[in-house]
Amino acid sequence: MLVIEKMKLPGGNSALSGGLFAAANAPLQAADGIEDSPALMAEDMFKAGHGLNHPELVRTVAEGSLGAFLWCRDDLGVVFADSLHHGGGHSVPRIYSPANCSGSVILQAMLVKCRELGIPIRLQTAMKGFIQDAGGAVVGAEVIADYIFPREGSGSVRRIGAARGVVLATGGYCQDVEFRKVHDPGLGAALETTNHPGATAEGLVSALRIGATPVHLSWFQMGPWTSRDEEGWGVSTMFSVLVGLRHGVMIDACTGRRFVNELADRLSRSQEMVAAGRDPMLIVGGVAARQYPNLAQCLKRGAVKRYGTLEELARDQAIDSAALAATLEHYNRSLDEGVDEEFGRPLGTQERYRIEPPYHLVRLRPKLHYCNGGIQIDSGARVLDLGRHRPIPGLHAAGEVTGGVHGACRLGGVAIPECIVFGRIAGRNAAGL
Amino acid sequence: MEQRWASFDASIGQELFEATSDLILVTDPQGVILRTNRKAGRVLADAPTLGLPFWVRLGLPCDTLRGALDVCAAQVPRFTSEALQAAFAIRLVALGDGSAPGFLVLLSETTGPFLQRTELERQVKERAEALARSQKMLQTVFQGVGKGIILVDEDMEVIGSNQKACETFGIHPENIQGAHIRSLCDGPGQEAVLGMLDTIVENQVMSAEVTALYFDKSSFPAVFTVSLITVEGSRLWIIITEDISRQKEMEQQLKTGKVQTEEANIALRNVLKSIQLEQEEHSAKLSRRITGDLVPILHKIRSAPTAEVRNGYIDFLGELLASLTRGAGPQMDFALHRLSKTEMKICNFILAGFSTKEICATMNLAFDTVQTHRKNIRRKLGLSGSAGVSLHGYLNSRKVAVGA
Repeated sequence: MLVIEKMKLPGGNSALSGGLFAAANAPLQAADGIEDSPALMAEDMFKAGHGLNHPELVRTVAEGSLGAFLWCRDDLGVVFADSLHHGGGHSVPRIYSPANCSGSVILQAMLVKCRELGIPIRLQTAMKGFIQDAGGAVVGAEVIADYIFPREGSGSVRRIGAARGVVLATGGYCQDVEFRKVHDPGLGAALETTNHPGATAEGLVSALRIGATPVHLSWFQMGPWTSRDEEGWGVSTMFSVLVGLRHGVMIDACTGRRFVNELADRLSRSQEMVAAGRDPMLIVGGVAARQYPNLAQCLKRGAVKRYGTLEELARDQAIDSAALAATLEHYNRSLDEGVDEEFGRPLGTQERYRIEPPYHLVRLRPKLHYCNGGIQIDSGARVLDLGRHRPIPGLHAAGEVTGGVHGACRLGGVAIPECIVFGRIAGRNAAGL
Repeated sequence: MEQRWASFDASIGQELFEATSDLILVTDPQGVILRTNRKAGRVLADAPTLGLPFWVRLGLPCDTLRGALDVCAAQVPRFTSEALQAAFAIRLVALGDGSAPGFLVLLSETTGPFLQRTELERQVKERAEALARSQKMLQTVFQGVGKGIILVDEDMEVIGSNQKACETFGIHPENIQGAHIRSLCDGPGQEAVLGMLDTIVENQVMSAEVTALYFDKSSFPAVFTVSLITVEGSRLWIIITEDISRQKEMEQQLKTGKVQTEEANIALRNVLKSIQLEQEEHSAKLSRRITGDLVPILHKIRSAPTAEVRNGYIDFLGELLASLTRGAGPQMDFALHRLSKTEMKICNFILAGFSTKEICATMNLAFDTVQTHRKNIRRKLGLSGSAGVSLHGYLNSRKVAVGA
């Protein structure tokens, strides 16, 4: 077995992510008396995905999510926080978060396991294309060894034979401006993204070249929680995801008023945030903000700003202070009453935090985050041929390079379960186990 | 009381009249200039001013007071002083209410602030560009330098790093930021690094060899070199990191090579010693034979009674002499002495089991050079043409034979 990685650093986007992990029927749900099931998780995924999702793939992820979580926790030894997060668009709290709020620990655990098992990871080895036999079966890959991203012409071409099969896990293409513009001309170079520089399309394109079926390539996801005061993913995103949007309000600085259910799916929120004339900011109270373990870092880097009084905040950010005070008062009253009449936000059964001083503020700007589309696979992670709708022998795929699981919108915390569920299926099937 | 206020107002008016940055012309009801403030006097000094209608002096596009009033009501007319390269906006204020006792013509300079702003903008732009250039240069040096650079703040957290540092530790830039410096080395390494950060002062450089950790928790030897700077009252440590695994590996190789060379040297010295002994033995034997066999025969020849007997002894002497050179002593003993110093060294390495490649690397010779030496050695040892005999085998067997 051999893992090849284009970049000088292993891990890709997963190592940068927040590492959120949705698991239906999670052990902590039982402890909290939360009723959940793979069917309910699948229903949430369909709803967010506007029904464009491929049903058998959704079911595979939802049904496999718990097993994937237990594998990470028990076999890889990843340490997760001991409370569940209620992510936007999920009908119940079902999301685990790594104790350090970063996906890097999951990747690290995998790399440690690879080292222990003696599985080599060849860095700076880029995918060039597949090698097929006369019958069209994938029997290896042509790669560029000693590749220096993104220098074209660096390295030298090598052929690697695969005795049993090849698993394509080359991720999305948010950083591939030319490729993304083909599918959505609006996504030009000026658009910021949370992705690492190597998130480009060549792996996907290699599969398309040998006849793989493209699915939903023009469906991208904007993350509604990134900061305009930081580049890329930054340090404040997980603050906004885990406590900001959960316990705070998103307001339009131009009016001082809320404009969306802060826990809607990512697509709905992003669309509202970029509506003409809006200037979205997130305000969360002191007690809730302190729930986030890395708050000090966010403050230190200026991505989260703290104010003693609302007037101070309003003055600094040029917000109508009377309107803002009214908004917070109204929201705090909704919390007491347990119903958000304005936007129908689920206030939940978990602890509620009023928005009170000191106030914490994040100036938001949605950034390109995820490619919902990719190549088509079946529930056995086999890549399907465009013309014949049959598996291309010897080729499996998993993760963001595949399409169809999420449809129009991916729910938070579902990407990593998807990667692990299909990654394990692909591995087993490719090995012929 | 009223009068006091009036004189107070008048003195304020006079103050303002001179203190303002505007040019002020005071006219009579017909618009003829009666007086100016000092600033106006200076600006308009290039031509007569007093006694002229203001529209004439300021060059407004009209010929009458009515016309001037219309021009000023419709727009803000400009007056340009070419001598001063300054432009002024003209405003007209009627004095009194209704039955105007005259007018105030106010000229506000528009060019000064404008020019100042333009100049300021130009300076800001220039400085911003210079800053961007130096930042770019600094960034290029920061990223391009062959070693890892990590910046650590007072919380012992990484607040910045270059790409090389990320590669050294296998951690993405986003993840190394905010990481505690401890997470980059093992227990003793942490102590060493924290100790340096704790004790170092400005203008000092400290460094330590530590066991560092890669992202997959494998370890590697590294050197951490620490210095300290103070930025806006806060201490900031600069740690230069270098993965020295390759260096360590080479050191190890060198050590092993040295030990092997020493062993080979000893072996060759033994060989030479044995050869010398054998040579001495051979000389002794030769001398014994000369004194024991040849000298007595020479005596016998001298005292031989007949020519026949003498000839018999001479024949015998011939045979004895021939036997002295036949199969006496190994040929190699002499052959070895014909080898050059370099060839001897190479024999040494061959004897120690080095491959030609390894000999090249160790002696810093080209492959072809070593091959030529090997050929010469074979020739000198009389092995040319005997392809079946390996040099290593031959040298080894000689060593054993001589030793035995």
